[in-house]
Order: sequence, then structure tokens, then C-alpha cells
Amino acid sequence: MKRFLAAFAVSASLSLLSAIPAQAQEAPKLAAQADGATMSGGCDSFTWDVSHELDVLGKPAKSVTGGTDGRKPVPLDLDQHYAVKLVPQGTVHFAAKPGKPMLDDGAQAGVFSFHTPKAGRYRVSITTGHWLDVVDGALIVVSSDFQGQRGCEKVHKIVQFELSGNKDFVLQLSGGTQGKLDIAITQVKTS
Amino acid sequence: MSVLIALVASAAFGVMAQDDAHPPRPWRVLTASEQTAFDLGHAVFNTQWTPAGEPAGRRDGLGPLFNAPSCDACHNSRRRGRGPAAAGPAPVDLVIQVGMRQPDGGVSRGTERFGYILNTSALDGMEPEASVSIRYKEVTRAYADGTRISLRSPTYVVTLPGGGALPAGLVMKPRMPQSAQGVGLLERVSSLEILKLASAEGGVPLNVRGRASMIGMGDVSELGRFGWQATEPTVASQVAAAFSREMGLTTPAIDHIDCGQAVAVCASKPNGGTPEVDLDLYRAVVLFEQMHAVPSTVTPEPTLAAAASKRFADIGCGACHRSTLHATSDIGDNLAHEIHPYTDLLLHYMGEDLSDRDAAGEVVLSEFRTAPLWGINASVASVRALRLMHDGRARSIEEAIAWHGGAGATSRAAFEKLSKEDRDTLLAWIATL
Repeated sequence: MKRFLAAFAVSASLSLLSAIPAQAQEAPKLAAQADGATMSGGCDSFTWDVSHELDVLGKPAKSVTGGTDGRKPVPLDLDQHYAVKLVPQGTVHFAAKPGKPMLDDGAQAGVFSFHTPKAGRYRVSITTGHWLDVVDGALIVVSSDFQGQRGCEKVHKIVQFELSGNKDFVLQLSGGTQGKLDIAITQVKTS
Repeated sequence: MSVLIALVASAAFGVMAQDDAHPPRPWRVLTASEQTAFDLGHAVFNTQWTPAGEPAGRRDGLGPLFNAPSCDACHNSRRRGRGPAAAGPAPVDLVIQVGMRQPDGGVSRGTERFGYILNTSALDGMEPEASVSIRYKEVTRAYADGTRISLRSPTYVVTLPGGGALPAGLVMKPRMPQSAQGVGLLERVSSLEILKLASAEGGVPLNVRGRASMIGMGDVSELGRFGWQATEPTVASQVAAAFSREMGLTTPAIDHIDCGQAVAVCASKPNGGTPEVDLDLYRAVVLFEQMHAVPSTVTPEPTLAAAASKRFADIGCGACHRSTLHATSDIGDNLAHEIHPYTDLLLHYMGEDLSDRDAAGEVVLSEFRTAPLWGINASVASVRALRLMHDGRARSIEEAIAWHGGAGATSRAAFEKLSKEDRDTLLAWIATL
């Protein structure tokens, strides 16, 4: 009995922190598959409806280079396919310490920003396994869920966030060793 | 010392308020050098390893055969795996361990052809050993009061590259990643305490008494504590085995990877150094896991908790899911602190339905280590679907109970005879452990 009362006292101090789990890192797209798309799932094996994300990522890409300063992020538009070039992580000053630290040997990173016209659920889709953080001011916004699929050429990982409206957020990529990737930021349409 | 006492006084030993979206916390205050190693271990745990030379450095050497490129890819945020959402391709975090039926009726650990695990990914120039998909059949179970519960019974379909039959006698053991939190405390439970529970001296009824997993090491044997079948004696050996078998990385503890019959081909490929995981990184990730606290995200109402925990004991769950063990601390007091992991760390036969099967679909009677229940609160609190048991077949705590056979059959039957209110109360309390 004492344990539960005491445990409550400890957790109460953290009650303002979200209990929603963070995204996971998934495998980088470097593996051959034993059985083609049936091995670990292709683009049709996401359990969310990701047709909009796949549609955006199927359009021509605009090229950008990742920012190196969290105070001067490179702006990205919603519903736009970007081909991104990252820079060595050691040269990047993040807006907030990345949420999931990794060995930084060979890591490539970049800092971006995007604007949310209205409150709702947003997704960041990327073609590598880089760790990604959405930052509000100096605070990391905890993701609400993620999905990752190997064997899908258009997207490797999609991370979902609940964001407030009419606001600028920073998007940080870190940890991965690939220097190039594709990104799309989308709002999930609710019926 | 005073800080440790404060922690012990303010919460159960080894349990820290946290959720997995936030930095991991140790179960005791660390020295400055320990904290540095803990942080490094956390980074190693998250790091995605890369193929040899891409880029050269401390993080290359992945594969050439592997299942996942990082610890975190399966033990997401140090927790149990996400497991299979539905039928279809097996997720990366569900691995198939393999063995061969032996003439004496036993099962070998590992096979000559595949090694210990079916590696489902490979770097260019090699083929994965197999692909795995899952089929589920819904089966219904009825309680005494007429309540019906639907369970999903899995079948695993293993396909070899280019087709071909699976070797006769191949035993497939689907396994979910277990939580990496609190394992250092389980390592600190004395072998004598565990062995006592397996003996008549422990007072556990014979029909549910567990068996210690004794692992032969030459003339000596050690008590197995980790893994679904308690096949590894220490956190360090468990970590080294995972690096070797699931990530294709050599460590100071294991100088080869799990290539099976492809060992010569694997050896011919570039490597990430000898060993691929440097000693300081290996030590750091071992320390990280040894010191990681068990998360506490919720607190049950005390009256409910008292009633539910009594019910848990009364219907026999606590005979195997032991509420209390004792872990020695390492800070000079040498005291055995009470911990509440809800396991006996012993092996139990859990019935035919949970047993592994061979390539012909024949049941291989299997024993499982009692799964620790502590930390389950973090999985329940997650927005993600719950996946329990060794292969993630159970979608709720209630389904997990319903799968209990063998040594767990009597307790399961007693649970099913409870009133719905009592069942719900018990389930709600277990979800807070």
C-alpha cells in the first residue's frame, strides 16, 4: 500500500509531462529482402491511410539543404515533397537536444521549420531512419505514434504529432548517417 | 547512500516515475563516471549501426545478416516490442529463434544451417535466411458466467529464399523483445533465493513449482535468468547475444555473428573492426541496462490495489508471478532490498497452446520463464496496441491470462470463475504494475 502512495508522489511531479510514447527508430533502407515486398511489408502495409503522404512524395521534389542553426531553420511548406541534403551533425546547433541520443560518428543532421495553419494531427514522412524531433520553442513535442515499413520505396518512416494551430515549429533530423533523404509534412484530414 | 534511502523510501526499490518519452532514469543515484557511461550506453542502445565502412567509425559493422540495426528498433524506448499488429508480414521486432528436435526428445538451441535466429535482413551481396509471415485464427473462450473472449491463435509461415522445404525437425520459436528495464535488479537476486523457490523448501505447490534454468558452461553451470526461456545468465551475456544474433555485430564477449552455414561467406565480407562493438561501448550499454529503473506511470487507488493484490495471490497467480524478490545493492550496504517484479525467474510448462512447433506443425512441449509483470504499466499507458506473451498474440492482459495453460491452468480457471467486477478490478490493478 505504501508503495502506491509513495509512487504517486513521485509521478505527480511529472504529471505535466506527456505520457505518450516517443517514436522509434526503424531500420535504415539498406537491407535486401528475402521475399520482395512480402518480406517486411511494402507501401500497402501501413496500418494508417497514408495515401496522401505517398501522393505528396510521388510528386517532383524541391531541393533544400538542412539548416545548421535552430534559430535559423530552413522553412518547409506543407504538402510539398523535398529532397533534402543534410550536413555533419557536429556542425549543427539544434533548437533542443535531440530526443533520442545516438553515437554521433558520421551522423548527418539538419534543422527546418514549418507552419501549422490550424490545430490537428500532422505527419512527418521521411525516407531514412533519422531520428526526428518537432520542437515548440525549446521543448520537444512528444510524438503520438509512428509507423515504419521496409520495402516501401517512397517512405520509410512516418511520425505523427498533435500540434496546435497557427504556429511555427522546428523540425530537427539527427542521428542517421545518410546525407540525403526525402521529406514531406502533411496534415491528417479528419472526416 | 542517503539519496538511495530517499529513493527507497519514496517508491518501491528500483521503480522510478517516468514514461518512455523521456530520458531513462537509473534506479539509484550514479557516480559521475557511472552517469557518463549510462548516457553513453543510452546512445549505443539507440544507435543505428551501419554496414562496415559506411562510414567508418565506432558504429559500423552491421550484418551482413541481421534482423534490426539497433537495440531500440525492437526494444522501442527500452520497452517490450510493439509486436504484430495483425496478420501479414512479421514485424521486425518479432524474431524466430530456431532449434532442432533431438533424438532424446529435447530441442537444440540453434541449428547448423541458420544459427540461433532466422535473420530476415541482409546487406547487399547476401540473401536473408528467410521471410516470416503470420496468420491468425480467432478462437473463442467462454467463462463460467457466459462471458466470451476472442483469442487469436497464430500460425507462422516461414519462406526460404527461392522456395524449398524447411529442414525436417526444425523447431521455430517466435519471440517478442522483452523490456530492457529493471533487468539489472533481476540480475541482483541471489541464485539461492531463486533455487529455493524451485525446491520443496520454497513452499510452492508441486503442480505449479518452477524449474531453474541451469546453463552448462563446461564443468560449471549457471542459473539462466534472461530471455523467454531463461537461456542467458547475465545482462552482459544477453546483450552480447543480441548484438551477435540480431544485429550481426561482434562484441568483446562474442567474436562471431549468427551466420549458420553461411559463416564462411559472412567472414569474407568487410567487418567493422575486431570487435565491431568496442569494449567501452559494450560495457556502457550493459551498464545502461543494468541500472535502468522500472517505469512507473500510474498509481492505483490503494483500496483497490489491496483487494486486487490479495485476489491475485488467492487465485494462485502469485505462486509464479512472485510479488517480492530481493536484490542486493552495490553501494556498500550489501543489503537485500525488496523488489516487486512479479516473477520467480523459473521455467514452467505453460500448456500445448503456447508451446512452440516444428516445421511439420507438431507441438514441441515448451517451458517459459515467468514473465516479470513490473513495468507493464508503461505498455498499457502507451497509445499503441498492447501485445503480450512470448509472441505478442495476446491483445490484452485478459487475453494473456486466457492463454495460460499447464502450470497456469488452475489460476486461469479460478480467474474465469470470478465475477466480472472482480475480474475487471484484478485486470485494472495488473495494468498498474
